[in-house]
Amino acid sequence: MPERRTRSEPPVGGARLTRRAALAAAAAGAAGLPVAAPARARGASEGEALTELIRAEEDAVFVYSEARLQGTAALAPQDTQHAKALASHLEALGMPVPGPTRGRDDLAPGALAVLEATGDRERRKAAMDYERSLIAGCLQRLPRLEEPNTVRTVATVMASHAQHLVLHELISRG
Amino acid sequence: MVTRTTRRGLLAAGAGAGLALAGCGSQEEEPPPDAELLAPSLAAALALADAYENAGGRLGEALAAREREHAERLREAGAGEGAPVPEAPDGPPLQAALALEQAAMRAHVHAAGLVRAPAARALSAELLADAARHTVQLRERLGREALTTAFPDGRDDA
Repeated sequence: MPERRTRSEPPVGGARLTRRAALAAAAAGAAGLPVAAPARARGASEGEALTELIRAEEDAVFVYSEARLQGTAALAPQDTQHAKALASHLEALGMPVPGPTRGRDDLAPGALAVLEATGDRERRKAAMDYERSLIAGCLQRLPRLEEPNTVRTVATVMASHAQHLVLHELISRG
Repeated sequence: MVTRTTRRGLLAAGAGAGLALAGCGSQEEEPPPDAELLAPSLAAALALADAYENAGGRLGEALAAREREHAERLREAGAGEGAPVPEAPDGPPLQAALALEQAAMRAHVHAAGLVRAPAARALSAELLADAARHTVQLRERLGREALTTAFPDGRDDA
């Protein structure tokens, strides 16, 4: 899978190990570089969780922009807003923000399944499964979050995907 | 709307829910115990169960059962009793239920950010998601636009 671009690079740290620099170092650690354990422990897990959630939202933007499912014009713009809100929390941690999904090769399997489904009915079903996976993704990452406002943002993103799911359900019932 | 005076500062913090850039000057204060934080969610769930029972019909019955389940889960999580009950506005039953769902969502969002127990955090988020689902179902029945915000937290127009 190709490496995704980032919108910003980790800040260049000075001699003093600030929280921001520690988090940037932790991000480097995720790429295989040795990092002192305390730096990884503070906020790194939150940053990793936010990074994963942003990637999922960027995938969703791509999927709904491409899928052209009836009645879902609002979904890609809302997912864009999710990605931006999550990115602001990640930037506050001094970690690089994943860029937009550029093609199908970037997509996670659940996202790709929506675009590969043939026919409106199958594509709608795949989209419902996809929304369930996005809800589960938010829920699974909640324990890794530390800041109350970050928790609230992720909770409302999760709630938004619950709304997207019920919208699919209502449309599929006609 | 939950308006308990002793929690005003924290409710002000909760008002920033869903906004990534919201400032929150009360975050350094020690939050109340989880039981107290979950109490408004329980009061809202009970009010919603009553509202949906009054609304009747298949949707009302289904959502009343769902809200009773929410109340049970909140009690199991240790939610306190006796929080102020959100008032339903006068008007058609589903319209009143929609306003109550909005109040419930505000309570869930507020709790989600402050409760200490991971299970309580997950529960608040799940209840928020369920309430958000219900608002779409109600809006669809009321002939309104289904999606009104990317961050459903109970503050968008009912």
